[in-house]
Amino acid sequence: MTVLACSGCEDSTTVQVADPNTSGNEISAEAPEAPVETPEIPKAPEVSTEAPVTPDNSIEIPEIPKEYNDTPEENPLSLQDEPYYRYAWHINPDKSALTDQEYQIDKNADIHLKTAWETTRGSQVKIAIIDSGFDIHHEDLASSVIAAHDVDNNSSDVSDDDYDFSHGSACAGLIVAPINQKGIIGIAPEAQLIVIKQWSYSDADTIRGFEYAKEQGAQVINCSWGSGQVSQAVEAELKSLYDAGITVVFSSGNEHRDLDEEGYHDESEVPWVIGVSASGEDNDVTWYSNYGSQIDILAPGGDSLDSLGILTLDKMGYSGDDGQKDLVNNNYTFVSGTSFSAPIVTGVVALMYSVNPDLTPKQVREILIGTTEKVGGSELYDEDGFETYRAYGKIDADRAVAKAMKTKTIIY
Amino acid sequence: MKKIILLFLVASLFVLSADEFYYAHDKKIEVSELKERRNNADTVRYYQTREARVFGVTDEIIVQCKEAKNCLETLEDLKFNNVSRLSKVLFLIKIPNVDNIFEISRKLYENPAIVLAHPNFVKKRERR
Repeated sequence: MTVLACSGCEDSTTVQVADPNTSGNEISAEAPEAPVETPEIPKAPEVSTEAPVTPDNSIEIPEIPKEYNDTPEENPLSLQDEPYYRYAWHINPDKSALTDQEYQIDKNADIHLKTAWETTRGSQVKIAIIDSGFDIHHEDLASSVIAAHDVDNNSSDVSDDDYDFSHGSACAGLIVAPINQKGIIGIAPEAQLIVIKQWSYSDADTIRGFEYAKEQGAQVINCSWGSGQVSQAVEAELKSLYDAGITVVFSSGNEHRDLDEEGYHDESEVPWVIGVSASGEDNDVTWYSNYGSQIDILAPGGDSLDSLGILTLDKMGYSGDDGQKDLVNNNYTFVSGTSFSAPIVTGVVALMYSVNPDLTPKQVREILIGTTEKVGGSELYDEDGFETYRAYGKIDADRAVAKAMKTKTIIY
Repeated sequence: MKKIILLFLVASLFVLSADEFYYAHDKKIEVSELKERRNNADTVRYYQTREARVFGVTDEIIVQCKEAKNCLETLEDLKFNNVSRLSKVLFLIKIPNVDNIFEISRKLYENPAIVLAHPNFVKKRERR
Protein backbone atom coordinates (compact mmCIF):
# COMPACT_ATOMS: atom_id res chain seq x y z
CA MET A 1 0.00 0.00 0.00
CA THR A 2 1.36 3.38 -0.87
CA VAL A 3 0.67 6.47 1.15
CA LEU A 4 -0.31 9.16 -1.32
CA ALA A 5 1.04 12.04 0.64
CA CYS A 6 -2.16 13.15 2.32
CA SER A 7 -3.75 14.49 -0.80
CA GLY A 8 -7.12 15.73 0.34
CA CYS A 9 -6.33 14.98 3.96
CA GLU A 10 -8.37 16.81 6.51
CA ASP A 11 -6.72 18.53 9.41
CA SER A 12 -6.86 15.56 11.72
CA THR A 13 -7.73 12.67 9.54
CA THR A 14 -5.77 9.84 8.23
CA VAL A 15 -3.69 9.61 5.19
CA GLN A 16 -5.25 8.88 1.84
CA VAL A 17 -4.20 5.43 0.86
CA ALA A 18 -3.40 4.74 -2.73
CA ASP A 19 -4.42 1.10 -2.68
CA PRO A 20 -8.04 0.80 -1.65
CA ASN A 21 -8.01 -2.97 -1.45
CA THR A 22 -5.86 -3.45 1.60
CA SER A 23 -7.69 -5.00 4.49
CA GLY A 24 -6.97 -4.96 8.17
CA ASN A 25 -5.41 -1.55 8.05
CA GLU A 26 -6.53 1.00 10.60
CA ILE A 27 -5.83 3.88 8.30
CA SER A 28 -8.97 5.05 6.62
CA ALA A 29 -8.74 3.92 3.03
CA GLU A 30 -10.34 6.56 0.91
CA ALA A 31 -10.18 5.19 -2.58
CA PRO A 32 -8.26 7.51 -4.80
CA GLU A 33 -9.66 8.85 -8.00
CA ALA A 34 -8.95 6.70 -11.00
CA PRO A 35 -5.70 7.57 -12.65
CA VAL A 36 -6.08 10.41 -15.04
CA GLU A 37 -5.08 9.57 -18.53
CA THR A 38 -2.05 11.52 -19.44
CA PRO A 39 -3.46 14.09 -21.82
CA GLU A 40 -2.05 14.69 -25.25
CA ILE A 41 0.68 17.20 -24.65
CA PRO A 42 -0.07 20.42 -26.52
CA LYS A 43 2.64 22.82 -27.53
CA ALA A 44 3.73 24.53 -24.35
CA PRO A 45 2.57 28.17 -24.19
CA GLU A 46 5.08 30.98 -24.11
CA VAL A 47 5.61 31.84 -20.51
CA SER A 48 7.19 34.82 -18.92
CA THR A 49 9.82 33.65 -16.50
CA GLU A 50 11.30 35.65 -13.69
CA ALA A 51 14.72 35.22 -15.19
CA PRO A 52 15.54 34.02 -18.67
CA VAL A 53 16.87 30.51 -18.78
CA THR A 54 20.42 30.59 -19.98
CA PRO A 55 21.85 27.10 -20.26
CA ASP A 56 25.33 28.33 -19.55
CA ASN A 57 25.67 31.47 -17.48
CA SER A 58 28.94 30.68 -15.78
CA ILE A 59 31.23 33.63 -15.38
CA GLU A 60 34.37 32.11 -14.00
CA ILE A 61 35.34 29.13 -11.89
CA PRO A 62 36.18 30.31 -8.40
CA GLU A 63 38.62 28.47 -6.24
CA ILE A 64 36.57 26.50 -3.75
CA PRO A 65 37.62 27.40 -0.20
CA LYS A 66 38.88 24.46 1.85
CA GLU A 67 36.00 24.66 4.32
CA TYR A 68 33.52 23.73 1.56
CA ASN A 69 35.44 20.59 0.77
CA ASP A 70 33.88 18.04 3.09
CA THR A 71 34.87 15.05 1.07
CA PRO A 72 33.54 11.65 1.95
CA GLU A 73 37.03 10.44 2.86
CA GLU A 74 36.53 12.24 6.14
CA ASN A 75 33.48 10.12 6.83
CA PRO A 76 34.49 6.53 7.47
CA LEU A 77 31.02 5.20 6.71
CA SER A 78 30.07 4.63 3.11
CA LEU A 79 26.77 4.69 1.29
CA GLN A 80 26.78 0.91 1.21
CA ASP A 81 26.67 0.88 5.01
CA GLU A 82 23.14 2.22 4.90
CA PRO A 83 20.83 -0.80 4.94
CA TYR A 84 18.13 0.66 2.72
CA TYR A 85 20.15 2.74 0.31
CA ARG A 86 19.66 -0.04 -2.23
CA TYR A 87 15.92 0.69 -2.36
CA ALA A 88 16.32 4.43 -2.76
CA TRP A 89 15.83 4.57 -6.53
CA HIS A 90 15.44 8.34 -6.38
CA ILE A 91 19.12 8.76 -5.47
CA ASN A 92 20.81 5.41 -6.12
CA PRO A 93 21.98 4.90 -9.71
CA ASP A 94 22.14 1.16 -9.02
CA LYS A 95 18.63 -0.25 -9.27
CA SER A 96 19.68 -3.91 -9.16
CA ALA A 97 18.13 -4.56 -5.74
CA LEU A 98 14.74 -3.78 -7.23
CA THR A 99 15.00 -5.52 -10.58
CA ASP A 100 13.51 -8.77 -9.33
CA GLN A 101 10.70 -6.96 -7.57
CA GLU A 102 7.35 -6.30 -9.19
CA TYR A 103 8.07 -2.60 -9.64
CA GLN A 104 9.42 -1.20 -12.86
CA ILE A 105 12.07 1.42 -12.13
CA ASP A 106 13.61 3.27 -15.02
CA LYS A 107 17.41 3.16 -14.79
CA ASN A 108 17.52 6.97 -15.15
CA ALA A 109 14.78 7.74 -12.62
CA ASP A 110 17.23 9.01 -10.00
CA ILE A 111 18.41 12.61 -9.64
CA HIS A 112 22.12 11.95 -10.46
CA LEU A 113 23.76 12.57 -7.14
CA LYS A 114 27.01 10.60 -7.41
CA THR A 115 29.36 13.36 -8.48
CA ALA A 116 27.71 15.96 -6.25
CA TRP A 117 28.26 13.71 -3.24
CA GLU A 118 31.93 13.39 -4.10
CA THR A 119 32.15 17.14 -3.52
CA THR A 120 29.76 17.83 -0.69
CA ARG A 121 27.14 16.32 1.59
CA GLY A 122 25.72 19.60 2.75
CA SER A 123 27.77 20.35 5.81
CA GLN A 124 27.50 23.85 7.31
CA VAL A 125 24.07 24.40 5.78
CA LYS A 126 20.99 24.96 7.90
CA ILE A 127 17.69 23.75 6.53
CA ALA A 128 14.28 24.48 8.01
CA ILE A 129 11.19 22.42 7.48
CA ILE A 130 7.70 23.63 8.38
CA ASP A 131 5.15 20.87 8.80
CA SER A 132 2.42 19.40 11.00
CA GLY A 133 4.69 17.47 13.36
CA PHE A 134 7.89 15.50 13.69
CA ASP A 135 9.30 12.45 15.40
CA ILE A 136 12.59 14.09 16.33
CA HIS A 137 13.73 11.03 18.27
CA HIS A 138 13.68 8.88 15.14
CA GLU A 139 16.92 6.93 14.82
CA ASP A 140 17.56 8.42 11.38
CA LEU A 141 16.73 12.03 12.24
CA ALA A 142 17.66 12.78 15.83
CA SER A 143 21.33 13.62 15.25
CA SER A 144 20.49 16.14 12.51
CA VAL A 145 18.06 18.31 14.49
CA ILE A 146 19.55 21.49 15.97
CA ALA A 147 16.32 23.32 16.84
CA ALA A 148 12.66 22.43 17.28
CA HIS A 149 9.76 24.85 17.73
CA ASP A 150 5.98 24.61 17.84
CA VAL A 151 4.71 27.96 16.59
CA ASP A 152 1.06 27.41 17.40
CA ASN A 153 1.75 26.72 21.08
CA ASN A 154 5.07 28.55 21.40
CA SER A 155 6.80 25.47 22.78
CA SER A 156 9.54 23.04 21.79
CA ASP A 157 7.19 20.05 21.54
CA VAL A 158 6.93 19.33 17.82
CA SER A 159 5.48 15.84 18.10
CA ASP A 160 2.67 14.83 15.78
CA ASP A 161 -0.78 15.26 17.24
CA ASP A 162 -3.06 12.43 16.36
CA TYR A 163 -1.93 10.74 13.20
CA ASP A 164 0.18 7.69 12.89
CA PHE A 165 2.13 8.80 9.89
CA SER A 166 4.62 11.55 10.62
CA HIS A 167 4.45 13.65 7.48
CA GLY A 168 7.10 16.05 8.75
CA SER A 169 9.52 13.23 9.59
CA ALA A 170 9.01 11.65 6.19
CA CYS A 171 9.90 14.92 4.49
CA ALA A 172 12.79 15.63 6.85
CA GLY A 173 14.39 12.23 6.39
CA LEU A 174 14.55 12.68 2.63
CA ILE A 175 16.55 15.86 3.18
CA VAL A 176 18.97 15.06 6.00
CA ALA A 177 18.96 11.43 7.13
CA PRO A 178 22.62 10.89 8.05
CA ILE A 179 25.02 8.13 7.05
CA ASN A 180 24.83 6.15 10.29
CA GLN A 181 24.27 2.51 9.35
CA LYS A 182 20.57 2.99 9.86
CA GLY A 183 17.78 3.22 7.33
CA ILE A 184 18.08 5.74 4.56
CA ILE A 185 20.28 8.61 3.41
CA GLY A 186 19.07 12.13 2.89
CA ILE A 187 20.14 14.28 -0.05
CA ALA A 188 22.19 16.46 2.33
CA PRO A 189 23.14 14.00 5.08
CA GLU A 190 25.54 16.39 6.79
CA ALA A 191 23.27 19.42 6.87
CA GLN A 192 21.61 20.69 10.04
CA LEU A 193 17.87 20.67 10.49
CA ILE A 194 15.49 23.14 12.11
CA VAL A 195 12.05 21.62 12.57
CA ILE A 196 9.07 23.92 12.90
CA LYS A 197 5.64 22.63 13.74
CA GLN A 198 3.02 25.03 12.43
CA TRP A 199 -0.43 23.82 11.50
CA SER A 200 -2.95 26.32 12.85
CA TYR A 201 -3.99 27.47 9.34
CA SER A 202 -3.68 31.11 10.41
CA ASP A 203 -1.73 33.51 8.22
CA ALA A 204 -0.16 35.15 11.27
CA ASP A 205 1.16 31.81 12.56
CA THR A 206 2.41 30.93 9.08
CA ILE A 207 4.42 34.14 9.05
CA ARG A 208 5.73 33.44 12.57
CA GLY A 209 6.92 30.03 11.37
CA PHE A 210 8.89 31.55 8.53
CA GLU A 211 10.32 34.20 10.85
CA TYR A 212 11.52 31.53 13.26
CA ALA A 213 13.29 29.73 10.41
CA LYS A 214 14.99 32.98 9.42
CA GLU A 215 16.02 33.77 13.01
CA GLN A 216 17.62 30.34 13.33
CA GLY A 217 19.74 30.98 10.27
CA ALA A 218 18.01 28.71 7.76
CA GLN A 219 19.29 29.11 4.21
CA VAL A 220 16.55 26.99 2.68
CA ILE A 221 13.02 26.22 3.91
CA ASN A 222 10.92 23.23 2.89
CA CYS A 223 7.11 23.45 2.75
CA SER A 224 5.36 20.27 1.63
CA TRP A 225 1.86 21.73 1.93
CA GLY A 226 -0.38 24.39 0.49
CA SER A 227 -3.75 26.10 0.71
CA GLY A 228 -4.58 27.03 -2.88
CA GLN A 229 -5.32 30.57 -1.70
CA VAL A 230 -2.17 32.26 -0.53
CA SER A 231 -2.82 35.68 0.96
CA GLN A 232 -1.07 38.93 0.15
CA ALA A 233 0.54 39.02 3.60
CA VAL A 234 2.04 35.55 3.26
CA GLU A 235 3.28 36.50 -0.20
CA ALA A 236 4.89 39.59 1.31
CA GLU A 237 6.63 37.37 3.87
CA LEU A 238 7.88 35.05 1.13
CA LYS A 239 9.21 38.08 -0.76
CA SER A 240 10.96 39.24 2.38
CA LEU A 241 12.66 35.83 2.76
CA TYR A 242 13.68 35.94 -0.91
CA ASP A 243 15.21 39.39 -0.43
CA ALA A 244 17.02 38.09 2.64
CA GLY A 245 18.69 35.39 0.54
CA ILE A 246 16.61 32.45 1.75
CA THR A 247 15.29 29.90 -0.76
CA VAL A 248 11.82 28.55 -0.04
CA VAL A 249 10.59 25.35 -1.69
CA PHE A 250 6.91 24.41 -2.01
CA SER A 251 5.27 21.26 -3.32
CA SER A 252 2.62 21.85 -5.97
CA GLY A 253 -0.07 19.37 -4.95
CA ASN A 254 -1.54 16.08 -6.12
CA GLU A 255 -4.86 16.79 -7.83
CA HIS A 256 -3.66 17.04 -11.44
CA ARG A 257 -4.93 20.59 -11.25
CA ASP A 258 -4.09 23.41 -13.60
CA LEU A 259 -2.78 25.93 -11.13
CA ASP A 260 -3.28 28.75 -13.65
CA GLU A 261 -7.04 28.46 -13.28
CA GLU A 262 -8.87 31.59 -12.21
CA GLY A 263 -9.42 31.98 -8.49
CA TYR A 264 -6.76 29.50 -7.47
CA HIS A 265 -3.51 30.94 -6.24
CA ASP A 266 -1.24 28.47 -4.54
CA GLU A 267 1.86 29.04 -2.46
CA SER A 268 3.87 26.98 -4.98
CA GLU A 269 3.05 29.57 -7.67
CA VAL A 270 4.41 32.58 -5.81
CA PRO A 271 7.33 34.09 -7.79
CA TRP A 272 9.57 34.10 -4.70
CA VAL A 273 9.55 30.33 -4.19
CA ILE A 274 10.51 27.20 -6.08
CA GLY A 275 7.41 25.19 -7.02
CA VAL A 276 7.95 21.43 -7.34
CA SER A 277 5.94 18.70 -9.02
CA ALA A 278 6.65 14.99 -9.02
CA SER A 279 8.40 12.56 -11.33
CA GLY A 280 7.83 8.83 -11.03
CA GLU A 281 9.55 5.50 -11.33
CA ASP A 282 9.19 5.74 -15.09
CA ASN A 283 11.30 8.91 -15.11
CA ASP A 284 8.49 11.15 -16.27
CA VAL A 285 5.94 13.47 -14.66
CA THR A 286 3.41 11.68 -12.48
CA TRP A 287 -0.26 11.55 -13.39
CA TYR A 288 -1.32 13.32 -10.20
CA SER A 289 1.03 16.31 -10.16
CA ASN A 290 -0.44 19.77 -10.29
CA TYR A 291 0.99 21.92 -13.05
CA GLY A 292 1.07 25.48 -14.31
CA SER A 293 3.17 28.25 -15.73
CA GLN A 294 4.66 29.09 -12.32
CA ILE A 295 5.86 25.61 -11.38
CA ASP A 296 9.59 25.26 -11.78
CA ILE A 297 10.86 21.73 -11.60
CA LEU A 298 10.16 18.02 -11.11
CA ALA A 299 11.75 15.75 -8.53
CA PRO A 300 10.99 12.11 -7.70
CA GLY A 301 7.76 11.70 -5.78
CA GLY A 302 6.73 8.18 -6.77
CA ASP A 303 3.85 7.36 -9.06
CA SER A 304 1.50 5.91 -6.42
CA LEU A 305 -1.00 3.09 -6.84
CA ASP A 306 0.92 0.11 -8.16
CA SER A 307 4.32 1.71 -8.04
CA LEU A 308 6.95 1.43 -5.32
CA GLY A 309 7.10 5.00 -4.06
CA ILE A 310 9.88 6.89 -2.33
CA LEU A 311 11.52 5.33 0.72
CA THR A 312 11.60 7.55 3.78
CA LEU A 313 11.00 7.64 7.52
CA ASP A 314 7.88 6.34 9.19
CA LYS A 315 6.95 7.10 12.76
CA MET A 316 9.30 5.00 14.91
CA GLY A 317 7.81 1.67 15.80
CA TYR A 318 4.47 2.41 14.18
CA SER A 319 3.14 -0.78 12.67
CA GLY A 320 -0.29 0.24 11.38
CA ASP A 321 0.73 1.22 7.89
CA ASP A 322 1.67 -1.29 5.27
CA GLY A 323 4.02 0.95 3.35
CA GLN A 324 7.00 -1.27 4.08
CA LYS A 325 6.35 -3.42 0.97
CA ASP A 326 8.02 -6.33 2.81
CA LEU A 327 11.34 -4.64 2.15
CA VAL A 328 11.98 -2.44 5.18
CA ASN A 329 11.19 -2.41 8.89
CA ASN A 330 8.43 -0.42 10.58
CA ASN A 331 10.59 2.65 11.09
CA TYR A 332 10.56 3.31 7.36
CA THR A 333 7.93 3.39 4.66
CA PHE A 334 7.37 3.98 0.95
CA VAL A 335 5.27 7.03 0.09
CA SER A 336 4.15 9.02 -2.93
CA GLY A 337 3.27 12.63 -3.56
CA THR A 338 4.67 16.04 -4.33
CA SER A 339 5.21 16.36 -0.57
CA PHE A 340 8.28 14.21 -1.10
CA SER A 341 9.46 15.86 -4.26
CA ALA A 342 9.93 19.22 -2.54
CA PRO A 343 12.37 17.83 0.10
CA ILE A 344 14.50 16.33 -2.65
CA VAL A 345 14.83 19.76 -4.23
CA THR A 346 15.44 21.28 -0.79
CA GLY A 347 18.27 18.83 -0.24
CA VAL A 348 19.87 19.67 -3.59
CA VAL A 349 19.58 23.38 -2.81
CA ALA A 350 21.39 22.68 0.46
CA LEU A 351 24.21 21.00 -1.46
CA MET A 352 24.39 24.03 -3.73
CA TYR A 353 24.62 26.38 -0.77
CA SER A 354 27.35 24.26 0.77
CA VAL A 355 29.60 24.81 -2.24
CA ASN A 356 28.54 28.41 -2.77
CA PRO A 357 26.83 30.03 0.21
CA ASP A 358 26.62 33.38 -1.58
CA LEU A 359 24.09 32.19 -4.12
CA THR A 360 20.94 34.29 -4.22
CA PRO A 361 17.54 32.56 -4.44
CA LYS A 362 17.28 33.94 -7.97
CA GLN A 363 20.53 32.23 -8.89
CA VAL A 364 19.47 29.03 -7.16
CA ARG A 365 16.32 28.93 -9.28
CA GLU A 366 18.14 29.79 -12.50
CA ILE A 367 20.70 27.07 -11.89
CA LEU A 368 18.08 24.47 -11.04
CA ILE A 369 15.92 25.12 -14.09
CA GLY A 370 18.93 25.55 -16.35
CA THR A 371 20.44 22.17 -15.53
CA THR A 372 17.43 19.86 -15.61
CA GLU A 373 16.95 16.60 -17.44
CA LYS A 374 14.22 17.06 -20.06
CA VAL A 375 12.15 14.03 -19.14
CA GLY A 376 9.54 12.89 -21.63
CA GLY A 377 11.70 14.06 -24.51
CA SER A 378 13.39 17.40 -25.20
CA GLU A 379 11.15 17.99 -28.22
CA LEU A 380 8.21 18.55 -25.89
CA TYR A 381 9.72 21.66 -24.32
CA ASP A 382 9.43 25.16 -25.75
CA GLU A 383 12.27 27.51 -26.62
CA ASP A 384 12.54 28.56 -22.97
CA GLY A 385 12.90 24.94 -21.92
CA PHE A 386 9.42 24.79 -20.36
CA GLU A 387 6.62 22.28 -20.80
CA THR A 388 3.11 22.62 -19.38
CA TYR A 389 3.10 19.45 -17.26
CA ARG A 390 6.83 18.95 -16.78
CA ALA A 391 7.81 22.53 -15.96
CA TYR A 392 11.54 22.89 -16.80
CA GLY A 393 12.18 19.17 -16.35
CA LYS A 394 13.55 16.88 -13.64
CA ILE A 395 16.21 18.07 -11.23
CA ASP A 396 19.79 16.97 -11.93
CA ALA A 397 21.81 17.26 -8.74
CA ASP A 398 25.24 16.69 -10.28
CA ARG A 399 24.79 19.43 -12.86
CA ALA A 400 23.14 21.82 -10.40
CA VAL A 401 25.93 21.49 -7.84
CA ALA A 402 28.61 21.79 -10.52
CA LYS A 403 26.98 24.96 -11.85
CA ALA A 404 26.62 26.31 -8.31
CA MET A 405 30.37 25.92 -7.84
CA LYS A 406 31.04 27.87 -11.01
CA THR A 407 28.60 30.69 -10.35
CA LYS A 408 29.96 33.90 -9.00
CA THR A 409 27.66 36.30 -7.21
CA ILE A 410 28.32 39.92 -8.11
CA ILE A 411 27.49 42.24 -5.24
CA TYR A 412 26.79 45.79 -6.29
CA MET B 1 -27.30 34.18 -25.89
CA LYS B 2 -29.58 32.69 -23.24
CA LYS B 3 -26.55 31.20 -21.53
CA ILE B 4 -24.84 34.56 -21.41
CA ILE B 5 -27.91 36.19 -19.90
CA LEU B 6 -28.19 33.38 -17.38
CA LEU B 7 -24.54 33.70 -16.40
CA PHE B 8 -24.94 37.46 -16.04
CA LEU B 9 -27.94 36.98 -13.78
CA VAL B 10 -26.12 34.45 -11.60
CA ALA B 11 -23.09 36.74 -11.34
CA SER B 12 -25.35 39.67 -10.50
CA LEU B 13 -27.04 37.65 -7.79
CA PHE B 14 -23.65 36.91 -6.28
CA VAL B 15 -22.71 40.59 -6.40
CA LEU B 16 -25.99 41.56 -4.82
CA SER B 17 -25.64 38.86 -2.16
CA ALA B 18 -21.92 39.36 -1.45
CA ASP B 19 -22.01 40.99 1.93
CA GLU B 20 -18.42 42.07 2.31
CA PHE B 21 -15.21 42.67 0.48
CA TYR B 22 -11.54 43.32 1.13
CA TYR B 23 -8.62 44.46 -0.99
CA ALA B 24 -5.70 42.35 -2.17
CA HIS B 25 -3.16 43.34 -4.83
CA ASP B 26 -5.33 46.39 -5.63
CA LYS B 27 -8.28 44.17 -6.42
CA LYS B 28 -11.61 44.06 -4.67
CA ILE B 29 -12.31 40.55 -3.36
CA GLU B 30 -16.00 40.03 -2.67
CA VAL B 31 -17.00 37.53 -0.04
CA SER B 32 -20.17 36.13 1.47
CA GLU B 33 -20.48 34.88 4.99
CA LEU B 34 -21.32 31.25 5.54
CA LYS B 35 -23.79 32.10 8.28
CA GLU B 36 -24.67 28.47 8.85
CA ARG B 37 -21.16 27.99 10.20
CA ARG B 38 -21.45 30.81 12.72
CA ASN B 39 -20.96 29.53 16.23
CA ASN B 40 -21.00 31.77 19.28
CA ALA B 41 -18.34 29.67 20.93
CA ASP B 42 -16.06 30.00 17.94
CA THR B 43 -14.17 33.22 17.35
CA VAL B 44 -13.72 32.37 13.68
CA ARG B 45 -16.27 33.52 11.09
CA TYR B 46 -16.30 31.77 7.75
CA TYR B 47 -16.67 33.31 4.33
CA GLN B 48 -16.37 32.23 0.75
CA THR B 49 -15.17 34.02 -2.35
CA ARG B 50 -16.85 34.17 -5.72
CA GLU B 51 -14.81 31.12 -6.69
CA ALA B 52 -16.17 29.28 -3.64
CA ARG B 53 -12.86 29.40 -1.80
CA VAL B 54 -13.65 29.16 1.90
CA PHE B 55 -11.67 30.85 4.63
CA GLY B 56 -12.10 32.05 8.18
CA VAL B 57 -11.42 35.41 9.80
CA THR B 58 -10.69 36.27 13.41
CA ASP B 59 -10.50 39.59 15.21
CA GLU B 60 -7.06 40.33 13.79
CA ILE B 61 -5.82 42.26 10.77
CA ILE B 62 -2.39 41.94 9.14
CA VAL B 63 -0.89 45.21 7.96
CA GLN B 64 2.18 46.31 6.04
CA CYS B 65 3.11 49.98 6.04
CA LYS B 66 4.95 51.83 3.29
CA GLU B 67 7.53 52.85 5.88
CA ALA B 68 8.15 49.78 7.99
CA LYS B 69 10.24 51.57 10.60
CA ASN B 70 7.42 54.00 11.39
CA CYS B 71 4.58 51.51 11.17
CA LEU B 72 3.91 51.30 14.89
CA GLU B 73 3.64 55.07 15.09
CA THR B 74 1.46 55.16 12.00
CA LEU B 75 -0.94 52.65 13.50
CA GLU B 76 -0.93 54.46 16.82
CA ASP B 77 -1.87 57.66 15.03
CA LEU B 78 -4.78 55.75 13.54
CA LYS B 79 -5.85 54.86 17.09
CA PHE B 80 -4.82 51.21 17.01
CA ASN B 81 -3.33 50.28 20.38
CA ASN B 82 -3.26 46.52 20.30
CA VAL B 83 -0.51 46.00 17.72
CA SER B 84 2.23 43.39 17.62
CA ARG B 85 5.03 42.82 15.16
CA LEU B 86 5.00 39.68 13.03
CA SER B 87 8.11 40.42 11.01
CA LYS B 88 10.30 43.28 9.88
CA VAL B 89 7.47 44.60 7.71
CA LEU B 90 4.25 42.93 8.86
CA PHE B 91 2.17 43.82 11.89
CA LEU B 92 -0.86 42.30 13.55
CA ILE B 93 -3.68 44.45 14.87
CA LYS B 94 -6.27 43.09 17.26
CA ILE B 95 -9.64 44.80 17.05
CA PRO B 96 -12.45 44.70 19.59
CA ASN B 97 -15.12 43.20 17.37
CA VAL B 98 -14.88 40.74 14.50
CA ASP B 99 -18.09 42.23 13.06
CA ASN B 100 -16.07 45.18 11.72
CA ILE B 101 -13.12 43.23 10.41
CA PHE B 102 -13.67 43.91 6.71
CA GLU B 103 -14.68 47.53 7.15
CA ILE B 104 -11.56 48.28 9.19
CA SER B 105 -9.36 46.34 6.77
CA ARG B 106 -10.71 48.41 3.87
CA LYS B 107 -10.20 51.71 5.65
CA LEU B 108 -6.63 50.77 6.48
CA TYR B 109 -5.95 49.68 2.92
CA GLU B 110 -7.30 52.99 1.62
CA ASN B 111 -4.84 54.89 3.82
CA PRO B 112 -1.90 56.11 1.72
CA ALA B 113 0.58 54.98 4.39
CA ILE B 114 -0.51 51.34 4.10
CA VAL B 115 0.65 48.77 1.52
CA LEU B 116 -1.56 45.88 2.52
CA ALA B 117 -4.29 45.27 5.07
CA HIS B 118 -6.49 42.24 5.30
CA PRO B 119 -7.89 39.96 7.96
CA ASN B 120 -5.69 37.32 9.51
CA PHE B 121 -7.11 34.55 7.36
CA VAL B 122 -7.59 31.02 8.59
CA LYS B 123 -7.38 28.75 5.56
CA LYS B 124 -7.40 25.02 5.29
CA ARG B 125 -4.01 23.68 4.40
CA GLU B 126 -3.22 20.27 2.97
CA ARG B 127 -0.21 18.09 3.35
CA ARG B 128 0.85 16.94 -0.09
